[in-house]
Amino acid sequence: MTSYQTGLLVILSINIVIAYGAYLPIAAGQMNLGIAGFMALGAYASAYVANNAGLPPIVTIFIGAGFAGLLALIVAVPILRTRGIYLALATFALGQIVAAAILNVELVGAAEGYSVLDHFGLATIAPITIATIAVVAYLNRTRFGLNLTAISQDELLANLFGVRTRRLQIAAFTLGAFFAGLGGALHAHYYNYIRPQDFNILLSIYIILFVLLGGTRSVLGPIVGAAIFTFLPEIFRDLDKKFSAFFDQVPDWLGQASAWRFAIFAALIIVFMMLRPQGIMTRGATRAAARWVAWCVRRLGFARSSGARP
Amino acid sequence: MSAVPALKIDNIGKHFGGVKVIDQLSFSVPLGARTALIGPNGAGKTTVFNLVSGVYPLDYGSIALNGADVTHVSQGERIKFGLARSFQNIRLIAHLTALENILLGQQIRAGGLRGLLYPLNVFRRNKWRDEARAALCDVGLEAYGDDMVGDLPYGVQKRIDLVRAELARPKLLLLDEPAAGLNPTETEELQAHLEGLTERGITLVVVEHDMQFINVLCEHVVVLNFGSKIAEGTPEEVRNHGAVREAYLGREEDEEAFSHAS
Amino acid sequence: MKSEPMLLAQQFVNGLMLGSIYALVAVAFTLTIGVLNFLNFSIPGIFMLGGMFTWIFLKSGLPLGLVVLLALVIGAAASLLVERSSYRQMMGSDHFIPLVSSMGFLILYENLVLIFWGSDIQVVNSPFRDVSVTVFGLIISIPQLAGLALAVTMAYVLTRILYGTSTGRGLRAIAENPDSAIMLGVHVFRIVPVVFLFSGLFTALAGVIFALNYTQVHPFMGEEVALKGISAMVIGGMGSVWGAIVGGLLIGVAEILSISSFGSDFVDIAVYGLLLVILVIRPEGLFGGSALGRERL
Ligand SMILES: Nc1ncnc2c1ncn2[C@@H]1O[C@H](COP(=O)(O)OP(=O)(O)OP(=O)(O)O)[C@@H](O)[C@H]1O
Ligand SMILES: [Mg+2]
Repeated sequence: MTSYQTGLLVILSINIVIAYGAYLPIAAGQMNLGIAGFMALGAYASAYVANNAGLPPIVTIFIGAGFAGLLALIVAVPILRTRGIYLALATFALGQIVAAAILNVELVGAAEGYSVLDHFGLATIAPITIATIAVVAYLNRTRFGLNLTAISQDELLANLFGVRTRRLQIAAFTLGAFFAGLGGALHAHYYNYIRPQDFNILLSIYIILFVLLGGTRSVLGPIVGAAIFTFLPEIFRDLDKKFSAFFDQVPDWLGQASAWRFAIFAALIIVFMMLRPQGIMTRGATRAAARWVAWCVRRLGFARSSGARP
Repeated sequence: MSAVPALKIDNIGKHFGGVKVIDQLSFSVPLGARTALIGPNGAGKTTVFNLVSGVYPLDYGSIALNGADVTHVSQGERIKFGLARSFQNIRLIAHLTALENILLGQQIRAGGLRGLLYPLNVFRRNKWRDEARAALCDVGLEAYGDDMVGDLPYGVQKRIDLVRAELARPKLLLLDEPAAGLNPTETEELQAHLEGLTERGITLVVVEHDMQFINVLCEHVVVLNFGSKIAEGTPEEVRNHGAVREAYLGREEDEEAFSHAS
Repeated sequence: MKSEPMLLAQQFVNGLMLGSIYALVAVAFTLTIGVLNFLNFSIPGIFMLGGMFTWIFLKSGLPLGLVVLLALVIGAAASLLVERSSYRQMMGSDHFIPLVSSMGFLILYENLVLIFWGSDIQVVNSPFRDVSVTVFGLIISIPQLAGLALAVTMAYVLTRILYGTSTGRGLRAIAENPDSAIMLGVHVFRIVPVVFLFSGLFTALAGVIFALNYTQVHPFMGEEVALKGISAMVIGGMGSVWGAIVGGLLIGVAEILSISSFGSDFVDIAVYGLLLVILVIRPEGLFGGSALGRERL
């Protein structure tokens, strides 16, 4: 693997972890527009502890995530009393407050940004991502996951059947914030330098967008969404250079590769939400994918055994 | 009356805006019986169910389940007193399979955090899924277990709705128009099924417009009009009650239903 | 040199002028929320289109009146496009799907503009650059004054429409209860575009005034202003037109006054902190009362 490819995989891994941070509350019918704020908290807390406490780096990222989860737990009780648009706006305000607050803390460099000494590579980050996927996949197969779906679709009904709707929503929100914080901590330890403005509202919006594009009814949705979000830009990298291989005159606007990829990503979202609002990975699609994988495995196994035959 | 009633509604009232929807209503549901709650459209039947299950708070009055006062118990806790209900418009979770919808019915018996985190779908067998599947089999729906419930036919959805409520193992089950939209065969099956529930010791309260259905099924009928009780007794008594005939008069379909029944 | 109270008064006036821009944006937000319960995230993008196209058309030498008209038309068209491909498609689906689509439009608009006109801050050749009047020693620039007057006038016209025409009655019926509005024969599909038209016009107008006044535009100019607009709307009570106006002016004044004494980071914390507190403990807004529509879960 080239270092370019490794780098891409790291970014994908981090994006997946963060995606679950948005996925969990959405699965419970809540939109957290403050994901970037929780990421920032996880990033800064882990970085500060890593730089100052002399703990093993792997511990510090969980401390960072813990801080994000703790903040979520504290604010969840008042904030989750609000619903719908009010909740979206309240979480959005919370994210803004966190970012603005960090901007004022000299201890972590304020607007200057903050350096992180420890560095994580793919070897550390990928297992954490896999563990995150495993945790969410497991939860989806318990009453916890079942009840979240029930709450998101019919809170009253779930409650009448004895589901502790408030507690579960708080749990989903908190666990989501934990994952967002974890993703932020990984981000800090991969880039080794963080600034408050890296964690703005636009980041929260992008995360929500790619999670919904992937789909929120299957554990695979956030992975697919994160993959699209990570790899789509690469297609548009050096668009003008590719173009110049065929044409003498390269129009100016082709050089705006990063803008192109965001524009196309956005168009994709709009079209997708029109045609298939449930996202790419529905449960049906997930089952089909599982069948296809099983089929491939069988084919491979068959091919191998038939090949071994004399 | 000597025995504690399964449900005792004591002088309750409820208004929405300026409209008194339930007005000084009292009645009791005898334990182990099948009681019908009837009345013209808009009489307040569904509202009674909503008040009993705690969806709306009462304006005044009190409600007791099996002798326990639940007036101030929240909607999410009343199921602990052995209460379950179905809805007039089916409320299934469309994004879950039939089986998963039924698993939701078991929630109250699944226990606390351990029940919440117990794997339902990791190992091949587990008691909750087995129980849910068996319940589906009982009503002839084994083939639909893994289908998304939103795609299933209406009659099937109604049965799933009922089975889900049963799996909460309630002592008192409130059914809001369980026979609405069913064909004659399905209605007969439902009747037999509900009789089976009584044999298992479940007290039933049924809201239904189909008087034929009520006459066959229920031994005790409470008639509402404009949120108040206008008659109570056996189907026979109620049918011959002046106020009841009056309440239904002028409404052709209901009159028709009545003459069919008698 | 001005005296201390004069300086304060001047800042107050400046705050009102800035606030009138927030107020226009806040009205745009409050309209779609009040009537449709839809948080329209494309509004910052439409604001930016208003501002950017003012620059683009002015640069190409068109007369000012035509420039404003064209910028408003583009803003309204962009808003109607959002209606066509996000709100209309998704009536009845998960409640946050339209919100998500409108976020998509924000990103789409911003990046399309960036692709063709670049991300640099552009200086608008505003014909009003130095046109101002002096009243009691306070300097008031003409486009700012026009902006304030327009904000109040348009809000007045809007409330007259809401309470005096059949379209307005339809809008309020939808705000009260969309299902029964449909049953009562309100032509939702004819009326909903009106909401987007108005909200697009308010937003684009704010963008035009901003460009003419502060003479700097860039593809992401809408974000900061829209965040303040949202705050203004919440403070004034979601769904209330006059609440949005008052909220906008309040934030404008508070921002100018407090930046000069505390610095802008602190202002952010204070504004968003206030926003959060209001949402949690007083969701009907600071002034309470007559919201256009109620929250529909
Ligand atoms: N949440 C509510 N808000 C306002 N009015 C309500 C509400 N729920 C019920 N009502 C009104 O209360 C009255 C009784 O309604 P309810 O649904 O209880 O009648 P019902 O007897 O179940 O009628 P049906 O046979 O049509 O189901 C109706 O006039 C209805 O409009
Ligand atoms: Mg009813």
